[in-house]
Order: sequence, then structure tokens, then C-alpha cells
Amino acid sequence: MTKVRVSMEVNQQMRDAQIEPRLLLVSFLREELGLTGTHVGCETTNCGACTVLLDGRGVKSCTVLALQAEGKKVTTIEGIGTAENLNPIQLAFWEKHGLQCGFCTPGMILASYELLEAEPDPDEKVIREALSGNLCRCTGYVNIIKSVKYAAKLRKKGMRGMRKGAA
Amino acid sequence: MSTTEASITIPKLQGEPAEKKMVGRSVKPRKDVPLLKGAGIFTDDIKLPDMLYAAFVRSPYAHARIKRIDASRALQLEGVVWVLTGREAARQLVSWMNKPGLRTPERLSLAKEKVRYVGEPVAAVAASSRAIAEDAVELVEVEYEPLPVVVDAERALEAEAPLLYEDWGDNVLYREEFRSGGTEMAFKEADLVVSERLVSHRYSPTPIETRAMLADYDKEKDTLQVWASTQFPHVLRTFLAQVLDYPENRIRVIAPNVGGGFGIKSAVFQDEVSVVILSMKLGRPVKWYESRNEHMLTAGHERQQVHYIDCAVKKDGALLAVRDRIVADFGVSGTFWTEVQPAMLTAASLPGPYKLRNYDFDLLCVVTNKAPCGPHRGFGRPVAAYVMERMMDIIARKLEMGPEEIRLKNMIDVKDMPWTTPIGVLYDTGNYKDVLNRTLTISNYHELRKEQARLRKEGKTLGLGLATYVEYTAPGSGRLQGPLGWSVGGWESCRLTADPSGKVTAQLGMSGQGQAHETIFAQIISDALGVNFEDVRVMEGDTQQAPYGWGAWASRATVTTGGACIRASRKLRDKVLLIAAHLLKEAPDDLDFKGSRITSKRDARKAVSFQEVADVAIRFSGRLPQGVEPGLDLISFYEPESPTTCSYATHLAVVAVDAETGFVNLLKYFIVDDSGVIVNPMTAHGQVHGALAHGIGGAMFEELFYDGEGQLLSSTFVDYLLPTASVMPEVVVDSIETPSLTLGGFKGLGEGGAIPTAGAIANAIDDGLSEYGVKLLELPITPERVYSLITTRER
Amino acid sequence: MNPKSFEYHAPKSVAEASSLAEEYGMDAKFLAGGQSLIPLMKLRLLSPSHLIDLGRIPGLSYIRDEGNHLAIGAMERIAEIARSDLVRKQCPILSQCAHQIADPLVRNMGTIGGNLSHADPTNDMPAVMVAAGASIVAASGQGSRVIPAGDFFVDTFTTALKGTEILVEVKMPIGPTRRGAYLKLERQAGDFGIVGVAAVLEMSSDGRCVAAGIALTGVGPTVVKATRAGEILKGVELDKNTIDRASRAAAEEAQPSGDLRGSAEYKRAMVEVMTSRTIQAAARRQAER
Repeated sequence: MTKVRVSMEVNQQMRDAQIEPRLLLVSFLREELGLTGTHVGCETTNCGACTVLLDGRGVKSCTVLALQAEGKKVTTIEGIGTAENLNPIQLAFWEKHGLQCGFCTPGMILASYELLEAEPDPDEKVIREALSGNLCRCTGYVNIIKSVKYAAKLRKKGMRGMRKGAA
Repeated sequence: MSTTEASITIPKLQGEPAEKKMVGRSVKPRKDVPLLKGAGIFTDDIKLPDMLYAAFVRSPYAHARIKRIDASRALQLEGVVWVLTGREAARQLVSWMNKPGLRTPERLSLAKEKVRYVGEPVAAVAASSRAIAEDAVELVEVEYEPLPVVVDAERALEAEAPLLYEDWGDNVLYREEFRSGGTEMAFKEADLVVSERLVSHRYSPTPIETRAMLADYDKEKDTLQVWASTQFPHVLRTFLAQVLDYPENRIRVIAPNVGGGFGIKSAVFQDEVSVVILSMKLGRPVKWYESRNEHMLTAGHERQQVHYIDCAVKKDGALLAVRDRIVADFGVSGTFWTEVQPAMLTAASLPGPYKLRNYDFDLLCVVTNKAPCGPHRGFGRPVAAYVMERMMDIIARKLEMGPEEIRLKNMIDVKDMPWTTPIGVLYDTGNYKDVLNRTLTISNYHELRKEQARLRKEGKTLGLGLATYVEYTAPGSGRLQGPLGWSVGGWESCRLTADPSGKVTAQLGMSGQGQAHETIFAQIISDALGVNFEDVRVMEGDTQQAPYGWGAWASRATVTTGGACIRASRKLRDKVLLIAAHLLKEAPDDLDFKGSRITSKRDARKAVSFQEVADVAIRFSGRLPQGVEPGLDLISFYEPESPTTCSYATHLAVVAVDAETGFVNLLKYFIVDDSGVIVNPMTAHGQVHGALAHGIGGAMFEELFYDGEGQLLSSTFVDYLLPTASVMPEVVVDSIETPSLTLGGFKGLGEGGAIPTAGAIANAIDDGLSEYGVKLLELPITPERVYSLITTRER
Repeated sequence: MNPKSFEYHAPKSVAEASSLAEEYGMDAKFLAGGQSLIPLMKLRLLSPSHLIDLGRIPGLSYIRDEGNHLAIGAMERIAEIARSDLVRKQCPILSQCAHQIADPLVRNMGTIGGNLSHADPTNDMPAVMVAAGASIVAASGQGSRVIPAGDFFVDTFTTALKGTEILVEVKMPIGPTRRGAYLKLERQAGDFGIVGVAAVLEMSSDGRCVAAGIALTGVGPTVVKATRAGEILKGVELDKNTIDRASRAAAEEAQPSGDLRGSAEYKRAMVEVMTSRTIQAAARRQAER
């Protein structure tokens, strides 16, 4: 099958590659770029472990072709916060025990990121609704919901931590 | 809604101010930071040079003979390296269970003559990419001769039912009878006999990371290295050595980050063996990451049982005797290594926290044309709790008693502890009534009852459902190898090593999947040894580094490994004190060891740092006292003193039911549990929350639904519903701590939250709909099931 | 899981997309957001040899107030519709429906055009379109035509679009006298609904219902227009008895079949319950502008 060229901005870096058209965005990130923080858990748009931001909006990268991201900005978990400084959402998940095995966590954090950008002070109902496309099997969501609430607080305190324009 | 947690009592150890102890503190898990950054390495994240990808050809039939397999077209596809078939390399998966009457089904790594369930692996492809391997799967031609199918366990027992294993003559995998002696008499003495048929369905733990394995056979060195998403790396190593007939000391198994286990990863299925065989045959690394669809078709099915139960009771609610006939549907077989254990545990744990002296059961484990039955968080116990707790409510209603009243009437009193159940399980410590009463208190139960009455007048339905259980955790070798007939140890190991810089490394035979082991065991070691928490590093999951261990199952890690950590710490502490005494010219008994410092009890100025002692033990060994061996490096093993520890809890579900649609809304959920001494309240409660979500999923959302032809209809997450954040209720967790008799006083708690959940929710629905005379007997609790109970107004 | 290999085409205009579709015929599929198509391709239930991505055609994502209707571009994301103030004010039923589709992340990719042209009987938008009497604009290289929503959904996964035609716009009628609601019975967000009901009522100033459109999700081979239910509501006051009769009629008009989410009988009973609730919800709404 003939390969085609794809290029996109991933975590603020221009990336391009010759790929098979069928290559999924998640495989492009994981296999071509080695960004293995984005996980695959169900492959049918249900679990959200593969969530990344595409032009700032959370999408399930296992159900997006890499070619659909052509010319767009992709932010993965590796692009949130820095190695030294965790993003407030990451900090909040740590503080409130919003993760156990950590497999769904990157997706949860990116979905929360999109939520808090749009709604800096969400109530519990809004948080539950915003995370309804992300499945967690460890926490029963109890501490995830707490984490997002706490993240909202931290962000209000000005601990944005996010590099400018990363999403 | 808000999420609240009542506070939890931090244990005070003798003579020590609580704040100095690490056990009892909510320390943040150490492993979290890389996971939060997406830097945690899971099996599928590993890439090796020259690596191949495996994919499986699976049976589309539930029962068929394999007439012919033609892989020639697949082999022609560019990138395909090999297609393995059962005729070339089928290996029988060994069993570690030996019980009279337990049959050994054919369980081959790849089906050879016959397939017995949809999804059974028939051929394994190795190719240069996952996509090409998947393309090749479609090109392998398999000719089948379909055979009659049996999907229902009770039908499988009928004389004319199709046979899965022809030479057996029937479809019974295992049968067990138990008679406690006085049951018949007790039924004669009963004022009332209540009999029901209760049904539990098939569902699965479904961790978000499916099964994954990377096998790397090095032809030059003749060594096999396997990365696997597993709960028991050492067991997997032994299993592979046995199945492949390959020296165990040449195998290294590594469990990197594991994306959830919940039981399923303490099993080995057919496919994993072929991944290793492919690597050994081709001399190249082979990776397999299971698709969700494959996972649903093959892995972790459990809990499908039918119970015919009779309860003999007195007018005052006293339970005299129980008789239960259990038909457990195992699909084609049990899985390595639990075999028929889940159903055996259902039968064993049915008496729960009740003073039941007369108990008979007949257990029939039956094979059907469905995926094998494997371990699943709760492991047989949720079915037992469902049956028993439903019966409690059904009996209470007949006797016009409150659900709390009948339970308090029958619960084992604290003065009767320790208690031995009719089948001989010893309940070590606990106060069942206290926990139930505390549940009523924290939930404002009596206020909720008033609210219920008020809402009823408005035509609204609020239901309250209680359920309780006793969970047999951390079974000891005596129980495992004795009555359970299992070649499995109940002990765990800890290797403690200090280095010259005064840091300590613990290598554990245990293996975790998100339970914060690196943190909680460091807390335990820090207290028991006297070394600062920050200086203790805990490592798991590598058979080449850690001593043998059995892994995380049966809510046992904290009890068994916690004990091993304490024992190793004490041994190391003794040696440290011996050296320090020599250096300080004091008697070891006169020394204190805490905060990584050894101080004279009599003269605080006389002190030496742990670092210096370690340095003496290693680099300056000439300064060691005579007769003391150099080094600070030792291994300890720990086997709990009790045959099993017994955790327990009471759950209260508060639900609203929409009587027009049958929809159930979980409003609030209360749990009071006793898991003995709690090491880290934050992570402990996290376990309870997660297990509760499994319980809720199983009660209301998740079902592996097979049609009459043995086709699985819920084979992806599109149709197999995991609960989302939007359906979880507000959760309140509270604990009491009655120490167990083990080192450390731990009881274990990983599974408890999932055990009584279906019972509590079903009881709540029945309670809410009592005016309709509803009696919920079958799981799962779907809207239609509730609706049809309301509309048919049973009874 | 990966789809089978295919050739990828990224036309820059509707005409170009249409001519590609003509060239490859049955071997080609249009790709909008891909939230239904890509999972089907990954499960290899669908394996087109050519994929024509509509995502790079400019000018297909918009929501415009055209006075008597909202014009919505086919590639407008469901999430944009859900969060649009314009839609919420002018056409609450559409906003309400968009909020109930799949989950927030899927809505960020999924498009209204894809939702409609996929013609899955459990998709939510078709019922809203049919109940509201919306129009669907189809275009090809040869020009465009307007198809009434009532004629658009032919069968399961089958629409009135010709092979070379592309859904480019939806015209959703609005007006001060229209009141609509869409309610869905689903076990949880993200699951397919058991049944969904769209009701759009045209109200006179004296509180009578002048006209009504009722359409049902998930209870037939494609969206079901409950014509008799609509007629029962027409020209009368919406009292309990009328709503009950209309709901019963809708239940009779439904053609459910049993599946994992419920038996045919249950779904039919739920159509009655949900039709009643939806009509009442619609009637309770303030005028839509």
C-alpha cells in the first residue's frame, strides 16, 4: 500500500512521517513518535485511555486516523506540564489519589484539562458528565472527581504550570 | 453530590506516639509521578529490535471439529514470518489442582482437533507489524465441522446434551457434597422454610489494559525473558517452565506497570503460551497486546451460577439451617491456576457472618460451550453474598422483621469469636454487629426510613438495601494445600538489602497492579526496621531479582507480604543492633533504633547512624564483632498464623427507582469495613471505592451475554457496559480496625468492596418496590428486569 | 486492531469529493468525523478500498441563523452544536439532543453530517430532524438538492443520498411558536439509547397545539415517524388524556426488535412512557426565541 505524508504539531514540535493511510493517530503517537503515554484500552471509542487534545479538544486517538490530524495541533500527556513541574491537574490527581494502576490516567487528565479550560469551576455533576467518556476500573471515580475539583482550586490559585500555547 | 469519607482511626502501637509511625498514614503513592506524566512503562510500550507482533486466528464456532487449516495465503503476505497451528505446537496447559473427582479437560495452547468456544485460539500469526498480523489472520483458512452447542449449564446436565469432552460421558467438571450433620433435624424443627432459585450472571473484571506479553528468546544465550501484564510473575515462570518443558532457571519474567488486574491476570490462558512458543521457534522477540474484543471473548468470565437454596428459620428470625444446591457454569473449563476454586469458595463462604451451625451443599461445576471461567475480583464470594443476603431480606419480609433486625439476630456475637463455620473455616477476629450498627449510624438509617415514607406518599420510590459478608483473605498453605487441593503456597517473601550509604532495598515476591505496594510496604518496613521511610525502596515484579512469591490475589498482599516485610525488618534490625552494640559498647537490648539512628536508651549522646552501621557491615567489615557475618542482606518468608484472615463489612445502598421505566438510580452508598490494621487509609479506601465500582458494574451494567449458538453478543465495550463517572453514587467509607492475629494485624481488603454490592442493590430495589411485591432473584439488574417485575407484580 | 489498508483521498471541494465517489463507486466511503465508521473498519465489519475524507473541504462547519431556520454545515462537530449559544436559544431541542449523543470526547470528533448519513437507527439526530421537519441539502458535482428529513432515512444504514451525493447542510426550522424536546432512555452516557423520542410542537397563542412532529429513535430499522401520534396532538389542548392517547399511538407505531438493551415489548412500553415525557417537556418549554 502506498504511503502518504502526514505532518502535525505534536506537543509544540512539528512532526512528519510517511505513513500508511490506515495508521491511527494513537499508533502514530505511540509507534512512530514513541509517545507511549497515550494508551489503548478498548478500540471502539468507549474507554478514553487514548484521549489526546486535537486543536485543544479532547478526542479518542484510537478512532482518529493520523491523516485526520494533518496540519493540526496535538497535545499528549507528555505535553502537559514539564518533567520537573507537574501540571496542576497532575498534581491534584497525585494529591487526591486519583489514580491507581495509572493506565487510564493520561486520558483522564487530558479530558479534565479540556473541561477546566472551558469551565474553570465545574460542579460535581459537570465533572461526572465531562469524564463520562473515560473509563477507570481502579478508582470507582470517587477520587478522580475529588482530584478534578482540587485541580480547579489549584488552577485558580494561579498554578497553571502549563507551558503557554501547549494546547 | 459530594464525596465524603468519614475519618479512620489510626492505630497506636504500644508505647510509640502515633505520629512517629508510618503505618496508618495516608502517604501519596511513589509510583504515581511517572504514571501522571505518561512515563510509566506498560508491556505494550516496550519495543525491542527485530520484534514481531502476534495475532490470533480464533474460532467463530462455539463447538466444532477442525477439518483443515491452510495458512499458505497468510504466509505469502509480505511481513508475515510464521503461522503456528495446534498440529505443529499445541501444549497442554498444566493444572496445579488435585482434588478427587476433579476432571482434567483438554486445554491446549492452540486447538488441535476441536474448538469448544467462540474465540478459542486456532492459529497464531507472527508478523512485522500488528496490522499485518491482523491482515494475515483473515487469510488463514480454517474449515470447521460444526457440532451441537450447549450454552446453559442446567441443560448441559441433561442426558441428551452435547458433550464437550466425549470421553467423560457427561459435562460435569467437578462435584462436591458437604453435610454438616444436623441439617435434616434443623429443617424439621423450623417454623418456616424459605426456598428460592437465585441466579448470578457471567461478567468479567476487564482491566483497562488488556492482557499483554512480550517474549524474547535469546538463541545464543538460550534464555527466555518475558514481560507480561501479570499479577504473579513467579507463578507464570514456573508455569511456562512446566508447559514448555524448559529449564526454569533460564526464564526471567518481568511484570512492568500493569494496567489493572482484578483477578484476570492471576490466570494464564491459551494464547499467552503461543506467544512464547513463537519467540522460541523464531528466535526473535514476539509481542502480543490483546484487543478488547479478544479479551471479552476469552478472559476472566466468572460468577455464572444457579442456586437452589432452602433456609430453615424460627419465627423469631433465627436461622437454623441452610441447604444449597449450586450449579456453576464454568464454560469450557476453569483457567490455570484457579480451576474450580471460585465456585468452591462460593459454597464455602455462603454462611457469611451468621451463627449458622447446620449447612449442607451440593456443588456441581458444569462445562458449556463458553469461554473458560477465570478469577475475578471477589472470586466466588460475591455470588455467595448475593444469595445469602437476598435470602436474609426475603426471610425478614416474610417474618415482618427489619433487614437490620434479622441480621443482628443472626450475626456471630463478638463473645463467640473465634468462630468456626460448619465447613471448618476459622473466623479469627471481628465485631460484625458493631460494623452493622455503625453503618446504620453513619447513614442516618432511621432518618432515611422516614424520608422513604415521606417520598412514598409523593409517589416516589426510595429503597434501602443492606448487605454484609465475611471475606476469607490471605489463605494459608494449610488451607490451600489441604482442603482446597491446590499446589500453592500461602506465604510471601521479602529480601532486604542495605547498602553502604544506609539506604535499604526490599525485593518482594509480591507483584502489584496499582495498589501502591512500593509505598505501603516501605511504610511497614520503615516502622519495623527503624529506617527513615524515604530511605526504603521497594521493588517488585522481576523474578530475576525478587525471591519467589505468589502474587496479588485473595486480598492477601498486605497480610502476607506485610508480614514478610516485618519479619525481614526484625531480623535485619537484630543484626544492626548487634553491630551497633559492638560499636557503642552497649548491650543490644539497651539500644533504640528509629529514624535511621541507633541510640543508647541510657545515654542519648551515645549514638551511631544506620549508615555507619551499614558501612561497617559492608566496607569496614574488619570492625564487625566476632562471629558476625559481613553484609546486611537477608530474606524472610512469612506464612500467616491463621488459616485465613477474615475481613468483613456492611454495605448500605440507597436507590431511587423509576417505576415507569425500571431505571434504578444509585443515590448514595455507605460502607463500613474492618480490614484489620490499615497501613495507608488513602490507598485502602481507594481499593474499596474501586471494588465497589466493580460490584456496581456487575450488579447493574455488565453482562457477558451468549446466544443459543454460543456467540458472545457483548464482545466489545459498545455492548459490555462498564460503569462511568456519571452513574457512580456518592460513596461514604468508614472503617473500624480489629487487628488480625497475623504479624502486623492486617486483614486485606482489595476485593471486599465488590462482594456484597449486588446483594445490597437488589435488596434496596426490593425494599423500594415493596408495595409492588417485587422479588428480584436474577442478576444483572437491568431496567427491563425491574420493569417486568413491577408490571407482572410477582407473588 | 487496525483497519484494512485503503487508499486515502482528501478532496478540497464537494465537487472533487463527488467525482472521487463516482470513480470508486461501491469501493469508497466518505469519512466525516469517523466516530462510527472507524470502529467498524477496525473491527473489519467494513473495509472500503477508498476513503474520501471530507475533513479538508473548507466551508462545511458553521451554524447560521437564517431567520426561519438554522443552517448547519455538515462537518459541524456535535460538540460545537452542544455548546453553541445560538442553538441553545433558537433551537433547544437540537442542543438537548447534541448533549445526549455519545460522550463529550466522541462529540468533539463526531459531526452532524456523519450522524445523519450513517443512518444508524439508534443515532439521535435523525429523530430530531424528522420530528422538526428539517431539510437536508445534498450536493454533488452536478449541483444540489433539498431532501425533506422525512424522506431521507430509507433503511438501516441507508439514506436517500445517491452514491455521488454528499450531505452538506441541515436546515433546522425555528420559530417563536415551536417547542421541541428530545429525551432518551439510556443506561448511561455513551451507551446506545433503549429508546429516544423527539417531539416538536407548533403552539398557537391560546396554548393549543397547531401541529406536532413525533419521531422515535431505536425502535425500527431506521428512525420512525410517529405520524398518528402527531395527528392526535394537532389542533387540541395538550391535556393528560390527549398526551396519553398520542403516547399510546407512538408505541403502536414503533417497530422495535429485541436486543441486549431490551425486548421488543419493553421498548414499545418505553416508547409510550418516553413519548409522554417528551411531549410534556416540549410543552413546558418557553417559546424558542
